[in-house]
Amino acid sequence: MLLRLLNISLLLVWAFFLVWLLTYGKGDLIRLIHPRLWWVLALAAGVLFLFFISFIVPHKQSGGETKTLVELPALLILLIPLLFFLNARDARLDGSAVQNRFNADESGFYSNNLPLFDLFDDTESSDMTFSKILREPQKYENQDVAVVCQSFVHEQLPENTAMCFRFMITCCAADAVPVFIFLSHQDSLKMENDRWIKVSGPLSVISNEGMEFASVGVEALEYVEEPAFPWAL
Amino acid sequence: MQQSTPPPIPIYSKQAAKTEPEILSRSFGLLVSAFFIAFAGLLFISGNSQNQNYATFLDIFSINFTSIVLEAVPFMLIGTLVGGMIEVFVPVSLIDRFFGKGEKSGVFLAGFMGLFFPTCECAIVPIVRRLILKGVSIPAAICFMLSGPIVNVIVMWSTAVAYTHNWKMVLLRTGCGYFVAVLIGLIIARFAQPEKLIVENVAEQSLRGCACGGDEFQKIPMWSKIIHAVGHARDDFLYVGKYLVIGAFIAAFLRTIIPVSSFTGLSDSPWIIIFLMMVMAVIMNLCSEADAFIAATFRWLVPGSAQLGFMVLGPMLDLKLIMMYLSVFRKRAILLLSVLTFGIVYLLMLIIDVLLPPFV
Repeated sequence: MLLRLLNISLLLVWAFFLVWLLTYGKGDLIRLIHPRLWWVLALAAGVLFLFFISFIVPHKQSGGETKTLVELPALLILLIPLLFFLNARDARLDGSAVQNRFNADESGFYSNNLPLFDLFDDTESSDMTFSKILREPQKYENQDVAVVCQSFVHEQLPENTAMCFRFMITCCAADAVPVFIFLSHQDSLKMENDRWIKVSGPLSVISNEGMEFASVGVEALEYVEEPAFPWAL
Repeated sequence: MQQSTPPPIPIYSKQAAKTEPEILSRSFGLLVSAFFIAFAGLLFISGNSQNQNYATFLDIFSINFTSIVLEAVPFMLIGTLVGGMIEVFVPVSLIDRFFGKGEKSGVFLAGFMGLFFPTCECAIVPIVRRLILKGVSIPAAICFMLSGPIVNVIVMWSTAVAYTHNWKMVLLRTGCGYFVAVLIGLIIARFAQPEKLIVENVAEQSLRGCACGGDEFQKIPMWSKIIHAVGHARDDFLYVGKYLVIGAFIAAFLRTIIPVSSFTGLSDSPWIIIFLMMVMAVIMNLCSEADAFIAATFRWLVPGSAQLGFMVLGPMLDLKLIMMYLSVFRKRAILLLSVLTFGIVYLLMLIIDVLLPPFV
């Protein structure tokens, strides 16, 4: 009986957690899962409620009883992701994640982790300028642009050069890979690392080893709040 | 007129453990579970550490872990539901005819089943577990388990998109996935007793002890059958779920501490870089619908065969899957399957690297 109650509680906790994510917790969910997969989470919540119903419908008990002590660890294990979600809410993918996920050749040159094809439609929740520039830098060459992204200042980069990155998401945050635009700036500009910035200036295209990279000559820089949709698409 | 009381719905419930090996195995499982809970708990509690590097690690780990679980759990739930429906609604005679014991053609057929039932690797394990319980031969079930997450239209589409409609890559991935799965299925079919590969409780239940297929069961109302199927699915979720969580935990941990560039900077030799990319596929635990996008980011850095190896092996063998396999297979069987799968994919990629012109 106790095990049955624990099982029911576990299913309800997970079901309500998913429902909460899809209603009040969207701001947290968008940092973990691509919005095109949210309907699957809704389906999962529905399946969990079905499981709950199957528990409360009266039925014949058959077979041997399973001891609560034996099953309890399995139930606790299923609650561990919810525990770490509490930490994930305030956590952000930052410069250390960029270094962890960048592809680099033998000389240490970073490559943009960018498919050559538009994956998904633009969303209203996103400032798509960054993604558009990444995909078609030539289209914006010699034009003044303004992009919102995270600053990446690193000693390996040439003098007066920084990078401005976002993570490109395909399914979830664990799959997300960093993509970037170079920033060239004046001596006098001191840019803080790992901050959301809005930079404006003329865009140029530089080539290296068959790859083309967008570079913005920084004319104006301001620190801004993290956007509601922080990903690149 | 007296109204008859409807019969109780015969929800499946597990048999109690009886044999000594099973008790020992269960004790070991309890110990591992307790250790995992303690480790995860300590990791979480120590999040208040003043050490900035540790705090950053824990932040990234928490994002990786929760996002992998949130991405995988829905597919696993859907998989358990499909498995429950198969258990209740697919006739045993149909299973016996196409995928039953002694039906070697079932292996070839099972390799294509993903085209009709597109599933990712998180959903496939509970489905395969249920298929074995239903009476599908072990070689055919293993073949479906390995090919299902690759030989399916959604994965073919995502591969095409990631590789800018490079159909050679799509065909090679699908063809290699089918070939490897069928080959392993046929090797398993040569075993005298493939049933010894699966864990005891699955082997016992595969005697169809639930009586879902019995004449008496067929007389109960449709809604009762649906509730019964959901009951099966629920038990599968509660049983397999812990393996998914532990697998995701290990995957997120390694994903957080091992830089991607550490794999690509080690060697220019194809036979080493193919090996490294395959190891990376095992560690990264990517969804088969997303892995092509990651593999495509390596196109400037590693040969096509290494990218292909990454995409063929990943959906068949990764840390999360290995943990989930524990719900179906014995540990020695998992080791055998892992070595076979890794070895065959590796050899195949070396052959492709030598024989085929560059295709990326």
